[in-house]
Amino acid sequence: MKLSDKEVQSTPSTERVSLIRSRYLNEPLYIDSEYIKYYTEAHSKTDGQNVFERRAESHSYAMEHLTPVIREFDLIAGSKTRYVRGAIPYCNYASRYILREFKNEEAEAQDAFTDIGEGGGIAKAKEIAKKGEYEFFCKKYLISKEDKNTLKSSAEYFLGKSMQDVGDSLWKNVYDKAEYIDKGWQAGLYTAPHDPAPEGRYVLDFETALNQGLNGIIERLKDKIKNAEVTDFKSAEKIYFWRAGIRTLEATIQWAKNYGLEAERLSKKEKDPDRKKELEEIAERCFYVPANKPRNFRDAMQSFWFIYIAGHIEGAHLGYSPGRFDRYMYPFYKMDKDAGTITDAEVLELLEILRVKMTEIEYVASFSWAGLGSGNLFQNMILAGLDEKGHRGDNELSLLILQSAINCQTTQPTLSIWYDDSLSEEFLLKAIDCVKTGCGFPAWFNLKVFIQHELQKSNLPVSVIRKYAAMGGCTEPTMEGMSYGVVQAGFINHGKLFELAMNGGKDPRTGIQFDETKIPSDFEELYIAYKFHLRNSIRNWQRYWNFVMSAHRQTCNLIFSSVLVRDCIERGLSLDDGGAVCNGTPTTLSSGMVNVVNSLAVVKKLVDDEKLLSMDEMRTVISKNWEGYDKIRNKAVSVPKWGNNNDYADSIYEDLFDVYCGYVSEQKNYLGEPYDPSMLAISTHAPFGKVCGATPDGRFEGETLCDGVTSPFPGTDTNGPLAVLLSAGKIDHSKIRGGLHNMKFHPTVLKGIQGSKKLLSLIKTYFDTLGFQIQFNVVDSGMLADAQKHPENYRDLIVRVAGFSAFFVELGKTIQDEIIRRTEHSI
Amino acid sequence: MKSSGEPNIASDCALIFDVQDLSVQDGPGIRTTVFMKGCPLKCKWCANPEGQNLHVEFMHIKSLCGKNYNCVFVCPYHSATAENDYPEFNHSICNDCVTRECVDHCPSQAIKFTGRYLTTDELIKRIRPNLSYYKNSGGGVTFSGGEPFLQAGFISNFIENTQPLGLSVGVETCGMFDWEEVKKIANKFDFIYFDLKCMDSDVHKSVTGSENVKILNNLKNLTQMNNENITVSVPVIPGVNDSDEQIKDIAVFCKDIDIKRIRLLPYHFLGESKYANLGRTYLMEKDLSVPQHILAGLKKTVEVLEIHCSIE
Repeated sequence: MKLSDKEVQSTPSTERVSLIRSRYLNEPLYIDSEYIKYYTEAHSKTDGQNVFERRAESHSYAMEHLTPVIREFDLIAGSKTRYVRGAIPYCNYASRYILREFKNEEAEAQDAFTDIGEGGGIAKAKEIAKKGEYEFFCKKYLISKEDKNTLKSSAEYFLGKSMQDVGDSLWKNVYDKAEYIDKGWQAGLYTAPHDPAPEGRYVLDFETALNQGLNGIIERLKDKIKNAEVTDFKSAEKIYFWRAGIRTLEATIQWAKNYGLEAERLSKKEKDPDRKKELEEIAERCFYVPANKPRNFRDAMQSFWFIYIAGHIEGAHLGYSPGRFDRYMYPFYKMDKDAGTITDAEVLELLEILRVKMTEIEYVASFSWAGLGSGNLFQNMILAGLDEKGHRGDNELSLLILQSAINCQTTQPTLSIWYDDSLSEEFLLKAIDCVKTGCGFPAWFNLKVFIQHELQKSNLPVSVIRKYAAMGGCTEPTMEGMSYGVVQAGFINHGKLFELAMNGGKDPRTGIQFDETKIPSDFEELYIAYKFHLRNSIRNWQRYWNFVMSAHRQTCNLIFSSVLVRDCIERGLSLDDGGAVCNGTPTTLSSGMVNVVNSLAVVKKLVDDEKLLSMDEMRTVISKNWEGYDKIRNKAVSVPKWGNNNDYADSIYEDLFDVYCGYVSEQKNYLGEPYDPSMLAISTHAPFGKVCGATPDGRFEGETLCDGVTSPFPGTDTNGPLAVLLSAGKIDHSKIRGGLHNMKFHPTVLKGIQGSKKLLSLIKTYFDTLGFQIQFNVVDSGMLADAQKHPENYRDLIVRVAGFSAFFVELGKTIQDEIIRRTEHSI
Repeated sequence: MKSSGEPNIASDCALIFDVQDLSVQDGPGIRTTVFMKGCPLKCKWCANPEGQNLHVEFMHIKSLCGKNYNCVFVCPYHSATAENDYPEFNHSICNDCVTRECVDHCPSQAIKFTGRYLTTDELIKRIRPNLSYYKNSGGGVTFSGGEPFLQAGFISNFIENTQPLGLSVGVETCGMFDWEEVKKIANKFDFIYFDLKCMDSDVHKSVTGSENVKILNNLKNLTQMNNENITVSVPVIPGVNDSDEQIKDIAVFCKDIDIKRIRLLPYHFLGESKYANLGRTYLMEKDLSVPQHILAGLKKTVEVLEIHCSIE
């Protein structure tokens, strides 16, 4: 099947969008050290200042000095770096990994297990690096010689001062489980420390920021200072925070004005009268927003973008998201439409341009994290849902956003839908059209389930939850504009925990001994040991992360974001001091539980029930990676697995799921609220699988673990897609913040309007069983296999991988293989 | 069409080769298709050759085969040999095998026995959890095959037992069945897809192994009982029935007995590899296809007679 045979065609709506999009597609990745250069400069001059003001000053000084770049065809100004695809190396978060690259030292222990893609822009970067002006850095970026020098001195400056170093010097010295954490990294029990990019998973209060304008917020801050009564150190500290907020917002306004000046400069030398006019309008707009409330939709687009990207620059973000864009932008759209001053075609063009601009943002982090995220920033735009009264939230703008994603295929932002039965059929069918393009989104989320979750966790009024429910990151729901951002420590590897349980706490691959447990001789003992290691690893990991968070407060507390999250200004507290309305957002993440459940089922069946072999023999069989044990492996394969609507395995999943959620909530996060359980995979299932030996479920050594949360392990769902969904519907999804269920469809399943309606009824029915999330891949394996062989012909092929989209040719090979292998639910 | 040599299957038990959920092209809504084994016709182009024989059959799935030849070593009957690239099997021995050592020892799961006996209760238990998916989509269960009416007693029993569930039941039939067995349940179906290959009985016999007289009579009988719900399915086979005249003959016949809908199913060779897996030879030329413009022309031919026509 050729791409052009798709039922729904994907073509940018205007020539301008096509040009901007292909400019992106043909651009390699760059590291841009400009921000960190100025940041370092200001930081080095402010030693001794209050922690908020120093952070604000460093960031603000850098913002004011960033070079504004406006490119040909641009209608919206502002970008994170000077390059089309540029990343900021945030030395203030972590600098050792950067210096390590400089020294060409061996990368972190885990890097050997992470596989970064080779296609597209990465290939082009290699080509440019050969010419000499730019050098290759961190295996996938280009960096200029000048930037390289700057970067090196910034990285050196932040030794001992970065968040990572400040954190390490604390927890590595005083935390009694420090050795455990370190062992966990070596064994692959945990993902590598993600200090280089810990921010994200939240949404700013765009509604307020747009409607009050940054000037309006500055006024509120000034009022706060004016009316402040200092009675103790806490009330004095608030003044520093408010002052820092003013400094940051003023710098942001200046930064926007610099774009205005640049547009003005370009307009003066522009010959083409049409473009000249466009540039003049851009300039005028940049002088007006984000300081003031937008006068029209174009203003609102520019203002949103400035606010959004300014937040993005302040922190090393993953999962930082635009949230309910179709809702807070709607009044501006409606105003212009009613006045007849904008057409839907014009709105569509702007929305398509926004897609490219969001895809242009890159990040650089420690090498192993970059491999995990596959370069994806998890920016999630969520559509529809409900209003505060519980009525459907989709509108004309929601439809245009879907259309923009159909027309302009880019990996970012990921679209999601808050599903409710009351959403309009027109909107739902358009969303299915988007699914049919094969881009992997929108992902579907059951709002009903999240409301139940949030009512248990946050005690907010149901009207507030309905209205402000959003998505921060790939599949983690958050309350827009009122939630704490830094949410998690990284992932826990269930597969590794299973190995520890099987082997008395000893990792068979590295020989590292964790807490010793009895070597199990039957299912019961194995399950007890597993639960011990699970609880232990969760508790140690959460407490470690609390140490890091205290370092975050001292070094990288977000000021811009704090003043744009309710109720930080009112409370006079930054995000890290508990200023947000919702501080229960930090989650504990894990992946690979399905393999554990299946392995437990096999042990129960073959060792306990059928007595086909003893536990010792089982340990031998898997330590030999099944070699010479085909018959036993076939027996193991035929034991009922998760995802077949068979209670033999499903009941183990249900129990383990509850156990996991219970353990996670036992500990409190840095802000004093219980941790919230969450399960995702992103792409951790590949590196996690690589460090695990064979498992009793029939999986071979090094094979990828199960993706998603409730999706079955590839090849084990022998009862068809409905049985998979029936299994997935059994657990109480309202217990976790986030969840993931991948389904892959051959395009013929969804053919025509009938196919669309059938998919909708499938989603509805799954959500009737209180499933939380579902997403679909519509591709065929032949096409993917060909793309693997000929990446050059499939540059813009997008595939959904566990909670996010990325260009297929840029994904690591192990992930590509798994996408191809995942059970095809064809008809 | 039971012959005395075939096993006598009680009405609460049927030989089935697949139960497939989320079938979206076998009738309205989300459906579960029950593929029943055994068919009186032997159409050359049959895409489900494993549905033809009314007995369990051995299949070696070559695309999965890892060529490790465990099957050759473990087979006590020496039915598997390693003479060529893939292991080869004497299917007539393998079909009767009950010990199935090769299945246990194949690391690639490349060997399967197609066909299993399922009771009505087992089938109902199997589909019951899906009821809400059927309800929300307007779907249900479709019997296909093979020829489902070869085991009509089972279907009758199933329908009787699922009536309280409000289940929608459809059937896809080749038309070759004993009317006496089917007439009791003929009006219980929400839809009947009735295959009609061609009007010329000699041609029919040469490509399916049987004449079409009984099929045409059955269709006439059916129309008198369940007319609204019948759709005639015409597999459009190059060189067999893809001429305008032949389709017109079918359409005229349908018009006479007041059939409202015809669907054209263009030939495809997706079943081709299954023949080799079953140890049989695919007799159709693989590269055949019906061009879109021909199909469009045939559709018009049908529509001229005011019969609704779709191309699947």
